[in-house]
Amino acid sequence: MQTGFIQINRASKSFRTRSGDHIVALSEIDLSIDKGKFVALVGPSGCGKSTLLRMIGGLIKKSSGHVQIAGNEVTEPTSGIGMVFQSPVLLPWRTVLENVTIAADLGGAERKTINERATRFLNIVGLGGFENKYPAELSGGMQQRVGITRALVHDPKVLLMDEPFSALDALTRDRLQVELQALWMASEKTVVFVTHSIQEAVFLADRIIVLAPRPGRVVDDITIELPRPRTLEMINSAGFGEYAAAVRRHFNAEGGVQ
Amino acid sequence: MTSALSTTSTPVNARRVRKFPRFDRISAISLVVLAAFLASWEWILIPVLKVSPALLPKPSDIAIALWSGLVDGTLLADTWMTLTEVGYGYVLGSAIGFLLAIPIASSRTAERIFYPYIVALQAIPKVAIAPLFVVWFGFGMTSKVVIVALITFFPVFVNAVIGLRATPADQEELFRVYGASAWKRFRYLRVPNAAPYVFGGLNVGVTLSVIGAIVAEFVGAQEGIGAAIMRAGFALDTAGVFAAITLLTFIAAAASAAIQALGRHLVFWMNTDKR
Repeated sequence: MQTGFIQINRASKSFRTRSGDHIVALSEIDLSIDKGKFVALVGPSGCGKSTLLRMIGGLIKKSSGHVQIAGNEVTEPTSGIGMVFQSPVLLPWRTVLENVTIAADLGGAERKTINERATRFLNIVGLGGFENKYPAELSGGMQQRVGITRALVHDPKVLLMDEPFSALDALTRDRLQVELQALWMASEKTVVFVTHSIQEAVFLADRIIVLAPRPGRVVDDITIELPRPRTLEMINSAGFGEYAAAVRRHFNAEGGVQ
Repeated sequence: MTSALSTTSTPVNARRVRKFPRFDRISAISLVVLAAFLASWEWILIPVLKVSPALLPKPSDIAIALWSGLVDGTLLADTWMTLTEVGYGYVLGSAIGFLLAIPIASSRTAERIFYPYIVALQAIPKVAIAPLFVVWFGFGMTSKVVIVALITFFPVFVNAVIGLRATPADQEELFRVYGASAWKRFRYLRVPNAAPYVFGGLNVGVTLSVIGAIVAEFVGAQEGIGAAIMRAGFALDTAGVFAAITLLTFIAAAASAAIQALGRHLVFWMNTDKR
C-alpha cells in the first residue's frame, strides 16, 4: 500500500435522506496525495467532491475506510488544516485584520505571531492598508483574498479549497488563479482544490482527480505537466487544450459522466 | 504578484453611517404642518368653537403649565421618578429576556416545554395585573420596576431567540474548522449575529417600558408622570394633564432615539447605506 502525505483508503460516505432513501455519496475512494502537491477534484454536481474535501478536513465523518494526513487518522478538524469556502464567510462586525486572525480568538494560534503573519500575507495579496476596513467595504474579489489569507495565516500544512472562485466574475477569477499559484509556489503547501471548472483545474493543478456521481467515485487521475509558473496566455496553447479535452471527455453534453 | 487594487470594483464606504436624520425641505414642511396644526388649535378651534378650556386647553396654556411645572420642580421630580422606574425595569427586563432566550434558542426541547407558557404570560394584559403587583410589592418603586421589566421582557426575549438562531451555516462551519468551543461559538458568533435582532426588540421594548411605568403609576403612586396626570386630572387641571402627556411623549421619543443611536453604533455592520 502506498502512503502519501494525504492518504485515503477505501473511504466511503453514505447517508439516509429525509424520505428514507439510502444515498452513497462516496464509494470506496482510494487516493494518495504527495506533500506540496496541488490537486484538483473535478466532477459534476453530486459527485461528492465537496464531501471528499470535508472528509479530508475532518468536517464530515466518513462511514468507513481511512483518511490520514501525515500518518494520522483524521477524525475532527485540526489546526493543520486551512479551509477556503465558496463564499468568503467573513464576519461583518470584524475588520479585515480581525477576520484574518480569528484563529487567535478561537484558541488555534498565538495572537502576536499571527498578527505579524497576517500583515505580511495581506501585503502579499495586495490588501496592505486594508487591515482596518470592514468586509462590506471590500469588493467580492478582495473579500475572497481575505478568506484565503485567513486560511493560510496559521500556517496549515494542508489547504482545502471548495470552489473558492466560483462566485467571482471572470476577470477577478483569472487574476486570483494567478495569485493563488504564486502563493502556493512560495508556501509549499499541499492543496486540495474543488472546482467544476475544467480550465481552472488544468491551470492550477499538478494532478486532476475526476469524480463521477451515483455513487461518487474516482474515474480518472490526470497529471498536468505544464511548466510553472503558468500564465493566462498558456490557456490558449495546444498542450493546455489537450489536458482540458482529456478531462472534458469524461463528461457528456448534459454534464453527466460517460 | 500584482496589486489587488487594479482588479477590484469600487469599494463601498460602509462605515459612513448617518448619525442624525438630515434636515432638508421635507423636514421643514413637516415642521410647518405641526405649526399649522397648533396654530389652528390655538386661534381657530378654541375661540371659534368656544370649547371650554376645562375640556381642551389651548396649546399656549399647555406650554405655560409645562414650563411652570418644570420651573417649580414638581414635574422635574415626577420625570426623574418615572425615568428611574423605566431605567431599572428596562435593564432588568431586557437582561432577563436575553438570558432566558439563550437556553430556549439552544434547545428545541426547552423551547417546546417553556415557550407556550412564556407566550401565555405575554397574553395577560399588563394593565389587568398591575393592581396585583401593587398588592405584592407595595406603592413604592418596586411594583413599577417589576411591571416595566415584565412589559420590556417579551419583545427582547422573542427577538433574542430568533437572533441567537440566525447564525448562517457557513459561519458555523468556519468555526468548526478552527475547533471552536461552544462558548467561543456563542461569544464570537451567536451573540454578534443576534445583536441586530436584540436591538430590534430593545427598540420595541423602550416605548412599551414607558407605557408600563405610567400604567403602574396610575394604579398607585405618589410621584411620577403617571401620578402627575392623575393629580392634574382630579384637580380638573386639563392643561396640567396635557403638559404631563407632552413631557411623556418627549421622554419616550428621546429614549427610543437613544436606543436606536446605541444600536446604530454597536450593530454598525447592519447600517451600511444601501440606498
